[in-house]
Amino acid sequence: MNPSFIPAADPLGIPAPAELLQVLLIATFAIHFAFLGAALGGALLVTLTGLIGRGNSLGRAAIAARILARPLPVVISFAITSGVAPLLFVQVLYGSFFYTSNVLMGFRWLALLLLLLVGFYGSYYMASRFKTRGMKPGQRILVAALVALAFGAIALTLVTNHLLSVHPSEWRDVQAGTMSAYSLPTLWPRWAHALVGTGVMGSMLLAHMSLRRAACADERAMSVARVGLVLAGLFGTAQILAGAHYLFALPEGFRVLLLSLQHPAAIAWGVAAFCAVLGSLLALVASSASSPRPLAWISTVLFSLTLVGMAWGREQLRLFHIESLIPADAWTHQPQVSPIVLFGVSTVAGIAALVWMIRVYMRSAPPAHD
Amino acid sequence: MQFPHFFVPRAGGGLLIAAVAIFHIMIAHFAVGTGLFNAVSETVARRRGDTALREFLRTHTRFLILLSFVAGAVSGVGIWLTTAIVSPSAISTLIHQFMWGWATEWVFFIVEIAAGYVYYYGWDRLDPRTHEIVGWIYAASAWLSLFVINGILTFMLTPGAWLSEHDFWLGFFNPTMLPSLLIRTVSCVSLAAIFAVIIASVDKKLDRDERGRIVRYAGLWLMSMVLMLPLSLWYFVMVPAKSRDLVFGGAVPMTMFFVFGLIASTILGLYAWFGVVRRSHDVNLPTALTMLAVSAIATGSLEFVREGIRKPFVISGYMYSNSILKTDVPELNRTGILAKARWVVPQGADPRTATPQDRGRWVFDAECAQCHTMDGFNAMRPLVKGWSRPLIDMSLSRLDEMKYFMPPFVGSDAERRDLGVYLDMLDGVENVPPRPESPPQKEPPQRRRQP
Repeated sequence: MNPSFIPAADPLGIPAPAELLQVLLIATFAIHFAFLGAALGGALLVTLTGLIGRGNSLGRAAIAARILARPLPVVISFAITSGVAPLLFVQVLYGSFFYTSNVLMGFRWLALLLLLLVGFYGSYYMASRFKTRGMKPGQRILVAALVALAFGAIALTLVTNHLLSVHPSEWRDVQAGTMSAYSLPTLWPRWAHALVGTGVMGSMLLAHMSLRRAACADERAMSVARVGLVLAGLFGTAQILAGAHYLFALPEGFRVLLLSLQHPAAIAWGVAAFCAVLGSLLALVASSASSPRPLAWISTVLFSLTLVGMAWGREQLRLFHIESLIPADAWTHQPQVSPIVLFGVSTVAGIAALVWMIRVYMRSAPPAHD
Repeated sequence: MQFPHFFVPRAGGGLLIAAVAIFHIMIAHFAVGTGLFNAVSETVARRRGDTALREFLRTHTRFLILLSFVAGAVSGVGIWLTTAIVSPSAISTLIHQFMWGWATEWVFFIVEIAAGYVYYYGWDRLDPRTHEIVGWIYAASAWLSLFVINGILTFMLTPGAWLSEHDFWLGFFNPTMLPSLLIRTVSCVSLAAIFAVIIASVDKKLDRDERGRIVRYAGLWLMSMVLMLPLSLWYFVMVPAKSRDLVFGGAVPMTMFFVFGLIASTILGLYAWFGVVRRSHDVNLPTALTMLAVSAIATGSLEFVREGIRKPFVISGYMYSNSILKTDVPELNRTGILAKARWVVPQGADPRTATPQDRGRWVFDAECAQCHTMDGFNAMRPLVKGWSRPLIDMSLSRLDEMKYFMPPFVGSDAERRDLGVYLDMLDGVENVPPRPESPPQKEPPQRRRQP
């Protein structure tokens, strides 16, 4: 790539050390992906369980679909809201690359708006229909499939945009139309890896929602929770396989670095893979335990660590591709101390408010029943 | 200029941003206003023992969730997506300068969303006092979110002392920050009141007296619209003199939209008293929807003026509306703009060997296409129709002097001549390759005028 096509860095510099912004990017991306994964995985599982349970509304599959459909609008809301922060940090750190790929994606990038509207309103519609059973099962499943399709397409757009941003050598061909952004190397293995990962998050959401109901001596809910844990274990195992497939699709140079443990990404993805294996095993063990709740929580923590590891490794891979191309003055920082303090104070106050509200809500009444 | 250009057929990128922004502003203002409206009203309802009002607030909140939390959140993301694609340099500047402000706003936003859900889903679960506190948390976080965004938006028109210091707080607490914050707060509570009237008009659970009482109560909130007149005058006193001149007669469209906005706001404020508060039983759905339409005209008009008087800048005194930094102009005049705007030159082409009209077209793409389309909104072809070549050349050389809203031509003399050739050819289309957004010409080419 001719470096003259990479836009110059913003002359204002960055408002904090790059390392701090990278940590914030990784942390907020992991949070965002957790919600997005639960939304997409949840919609996929509602479709799947709805399909299996369409003939028997009192069966486990049908109950699972109802339990999972209800919280999805709120989960999607937080998926969108939490996505703003990584969007902010990526623009500050990698704006020259990020904006260029946005423009090259063009209307496909703007299509995110339409997909979000379809997915979000669809989820509200789906949740209300599953709650009141106001539609035929087949129609409910169609709505759920539409929501899953919308969020699957959103995931594909985001992955494509990210990949295009780290492949400046392809920019001019994509601009000229001689190459499709969808033929970028590793796109499909990467998307498949993410997609399978969302299955884990959707399954864990199902397990926890059901366990919460089971706390009120709801035997059917306990049974559904066990199904959720089994699914989490299976998706976790499948994700490890999809991860291995993705690993072998990565550029050889980076793969060698990973496998020879000579790169921070090796630690990040090593930890992620270890936690994914352990989390999957524990989910499977929890599914047959007499009291699955403690193991389910440990498994959730391990899957969360997997997410953080994956997010960290993702940043390392980004740097592997573009570090040498980042304009020399891009990360000159002009620290803004008092605004950072303001952000810190607001964050602490915000977390306190969130914790208090969630606490009073959770303690206020027993969970609703079907 | 440094980024590839995104062509929006017919409409142009600016119109795309404006459409998404106005839609978002209406919903976001409603969300902030509803926070204040609901928190105050619930407190009032509890003290008065007004169960009808409290029940009505539940319906109002459901509407908030369905409209604001979905369409508002998505259109908010939409502003990020469209600005990043249409005007990446401008959004980059704002983000690099105000990243911590935006990050703080994000925290308020998360709290706002969480509080909104707990408020709605906890209606029958939380005790009244706790529920009321959650309502106030929602109101405070939503308004603080507006507070932060308002500081960043007003910075674009009146950066004030930031231009010399590049200091966060100087940019944030800029000259129009406070009047704009008050204007937006009034707009927020007014929209919440209008939606309250709309919802009361269709809420079948309310009997006639309850509906009348709630409509009258909402009308009292809507009366705040009369404050728009003094607040707007204060705002326009604080804008730069050149911008103020545009509103007060210098540019007819700006004056007209300003007057439209103020008249619409004042009429709404007065109607709130005479039509809504005093004759609350007569207010029905069509009346309420008409109020919403007038409010949209007021908001849209004043937002149009706010955007318009910033020209020729996107960030006053710092970055022109075509994303060229004011400080870069001397250098670009020396080296030529095509030396920097590499993306506009097609793959395999070389500006040194290209024809003048091709170079002119690339200069157009680098410098003009961010605001002008070829045949659609703010179109170039009809704009230069009938212009002689000397007139085009003269206009380009004195662009910012002849038209107050235009940035100066930036680039070498040769590039200016090339752009002149290209613009001149637009009238006689036979030699001009179709622009990406232009359909192939079917009309036989007209005979070109001689200069």
